[in-house]
Amino acid sequence: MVEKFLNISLYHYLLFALILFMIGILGTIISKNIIKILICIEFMLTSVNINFIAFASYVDATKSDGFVLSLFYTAIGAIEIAVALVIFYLMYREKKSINIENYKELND
Amino acid sequence: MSEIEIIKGITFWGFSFLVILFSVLSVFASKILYSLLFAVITFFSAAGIFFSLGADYNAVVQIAIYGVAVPVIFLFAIMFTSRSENKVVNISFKPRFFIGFLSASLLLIVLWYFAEFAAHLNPKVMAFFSLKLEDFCDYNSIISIAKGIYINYQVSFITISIIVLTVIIGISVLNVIKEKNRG
Amino acid sequence: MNLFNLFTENIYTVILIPFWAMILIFLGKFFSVLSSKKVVNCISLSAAFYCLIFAIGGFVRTVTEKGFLQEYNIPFLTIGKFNFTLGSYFDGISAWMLLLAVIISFIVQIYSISYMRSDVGYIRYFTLLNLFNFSMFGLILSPNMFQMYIFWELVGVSSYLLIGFWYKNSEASYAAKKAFIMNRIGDFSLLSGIILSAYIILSNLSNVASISLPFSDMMNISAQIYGCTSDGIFILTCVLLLGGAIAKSAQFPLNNWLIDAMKGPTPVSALIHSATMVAAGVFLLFRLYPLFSLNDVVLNIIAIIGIITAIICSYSAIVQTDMKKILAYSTNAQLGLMFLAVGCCSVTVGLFHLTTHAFAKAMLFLVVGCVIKLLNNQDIKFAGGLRKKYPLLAYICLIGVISLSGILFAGFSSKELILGNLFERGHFVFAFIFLLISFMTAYYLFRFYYYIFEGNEKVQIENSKLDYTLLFPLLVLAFFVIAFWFVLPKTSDIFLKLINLFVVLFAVVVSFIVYYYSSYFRKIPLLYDISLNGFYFENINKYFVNCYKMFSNVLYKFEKTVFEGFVYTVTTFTRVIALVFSKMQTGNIQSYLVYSLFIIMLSFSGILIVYILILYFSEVQ
Repeated sequence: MVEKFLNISLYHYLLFALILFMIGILGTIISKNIIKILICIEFMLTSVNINFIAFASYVDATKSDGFVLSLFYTAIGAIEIAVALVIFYLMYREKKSINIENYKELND
Repeated sequence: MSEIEIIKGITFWGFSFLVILFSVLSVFASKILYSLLFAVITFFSAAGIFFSLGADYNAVVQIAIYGVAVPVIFLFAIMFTSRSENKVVNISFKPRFFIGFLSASLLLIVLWYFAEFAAHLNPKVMAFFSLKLEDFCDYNSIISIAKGIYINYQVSFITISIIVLTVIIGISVLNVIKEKNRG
Repeated sequence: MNLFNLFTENIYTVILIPFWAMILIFLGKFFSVLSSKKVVNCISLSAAFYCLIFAIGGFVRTVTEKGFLQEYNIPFLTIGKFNFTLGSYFDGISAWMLLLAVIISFIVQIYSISYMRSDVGYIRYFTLLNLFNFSMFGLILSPNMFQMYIFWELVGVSSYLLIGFWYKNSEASYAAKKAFIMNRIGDFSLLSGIILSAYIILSNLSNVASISLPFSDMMNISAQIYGCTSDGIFILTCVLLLGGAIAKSAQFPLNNWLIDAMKGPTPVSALIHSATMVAAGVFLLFRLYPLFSLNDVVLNIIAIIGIITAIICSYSAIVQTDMKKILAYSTNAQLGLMFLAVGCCSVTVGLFHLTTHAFAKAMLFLVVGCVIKLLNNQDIKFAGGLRKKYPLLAYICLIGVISLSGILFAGFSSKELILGNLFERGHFVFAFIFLLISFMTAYYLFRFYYYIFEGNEKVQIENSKLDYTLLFPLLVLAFFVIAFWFVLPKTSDIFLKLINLFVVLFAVVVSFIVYYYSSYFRKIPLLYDISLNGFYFENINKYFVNCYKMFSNVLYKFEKTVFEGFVYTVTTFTRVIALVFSKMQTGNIQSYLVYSLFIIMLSFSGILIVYILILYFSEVQ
């Protein structure tokens, strides 16, 4: 029983990444606060990173590609968040609100 | 079962539990600062997951970027936008969001079981899950890039440059914001 | 001779000048620059005069020079290796026909000036008249069947427009539609015939040059077509080509439209529906005679159709009371006789009969026009006693009647020619029927004359003066009717002359007796009704029209329920979908995220389900 419990396969990692991804989506959908939405997007990025590394360590013998790509994703995600925050702040200066319900210009 | 596998399993369960717990807490936290704090803990735990998979370097980078650099930017953003009326803004359970999320997650779970079912039904599907990356694509180009990065010790340079780039962008953005606030 | 060269070499301008006159009059009216009637008269008459001079010049050239031929072609349409040309083809037949058409057209235009003076559509009338001239001259001078078909349709169009000239009168517009549709049937047949013969030429002989059936090479082409087809196909081709002539000349199965065509103005009836356009069918027979004459069956078909038409129409004309209807039935019968002449005798005889009939009938129509002007009525029961007031009119009418009946003048010669040829070639049955038709012709024409000009006056005549422009054309035509008597060749068989004269004079006497002692005669029930209703062709047509209407009604209902229902369903469905989707546009970024998520899940699950199904079924097999 314990052996079965401790025998971790690729599926465990994938399922875990999936759950993290769904939590990220949940947060993105239900949050009102824009900063929290961005944090949830970071969760999703992290789950993708986990997928990369899990695949690399289980499937790839050299493990190099998944790790390298994961590095790039980390860096790019950080930059993306920085840019997103700047854009958010520029919008915030107009609306003076961090509630996403006040940003409804898409259906004009 | 070797010791290293047992350690690997224990670390997986522990860190995955931490990740899921703190991510859920982060989503449902009432204050944005708490939310950010829980998110930092989540990122640290994700670094632990990386560690358990043998990706030490990635774990370090994860801690450096998501554990330190990004929360700092978030922190500044929260500081700039903290007003009294914004503190109560939390989460909304509008029915359509809930239904959409439910349907999506249900579909994903159904898909997952479909895949499992198909794997048990047919050895070909099993073979699909045990396929290697080479079978899907020609990755000679990727491997050459990776070798270039690894063999010539370029990777440290690149990661450091990315971190520096992030910091530079963050600082410049903050400068812009300050100037606009003054104006 | 150089002068005549000028005429013959530029004979194609005869087609173009009326066209330009039409454009000029039409545009002049459109921009109200030339809306003065005098200017319109000037343009129209000068165009007609130009045509007259050229036609006379060309005619003189063909008469003086035996076997003269002038062909002029310009390329019009090139499709791959096929070349279709337009142009003019001027030989004996077309010179004769052109002269005839031009003279009658010129005279009718002079007549129309005073006849249509008070009409609202005066300018439109002359526009259409010039359109008709353009198309008729083009038809006569066409060098191949391709051009002939184009002008054949144009003639039909101008006829349609002129029959429906008083389009506010519903009867006239109905008659115009009827004429057009019946002509369309014939045109379709003619087109099928042209296509069939072109196909035969191309598939059996691969002769690209003669695909449009040029008349200059007609003998050769006919022999080729005859050589490479079986009898059945050859007769089919000929009958299809003949169909066009049948419809245009109002022959037996399609003979009803000409009677209704009399709803148009009387000068138009004189020009188009008695002298020129209806003769186009006979002209087509002349042109294709080399083809038709190769098989006796085709010639017999022509002759039988002609004689049936002649009997039916002569018999129908006997009891009619409408002046124009009598003349229309008479025209129809004479056209039948022309078909008979072409089928049994030769082109020349048909041409002579066409000519004599054209002048006499045009003259009679113009006389009727004067009478209608005087009486304001077309019924012969209301006319009478006009001879005392208008002796000139009466004598001109008498000349026409005598000529058409075949007692004297031009008609006498041509009828005698037909009869002589019939006897010579041994068609005794046809000859007998021909005499019967002569009897009926003389009977109804003299009845027509008696009722209008003899007896007592029944209606007080209001405008008692006749314009000289109305009488001058009549005199010219009368001159031609008499003059042709001396031009035409005569048979020397005194026996035939006597038979013919006896039959006709007997008819005149019978007619006089029936007219004078009309109170002693009673109407025979069935025979009278058949004659009055023209063998009930109208009812037969209506039966076909009703069948077509029922068919189209069924189709209409089908269209209404099926197609419209389908369209309605589609629009409603679209509207509902659009409503739902517009409600979905909340503007909130998170809802769009949900939609995209949902769609991605759907597509992934679809792909995976299909994949699993494929695997499953491949495993089962």
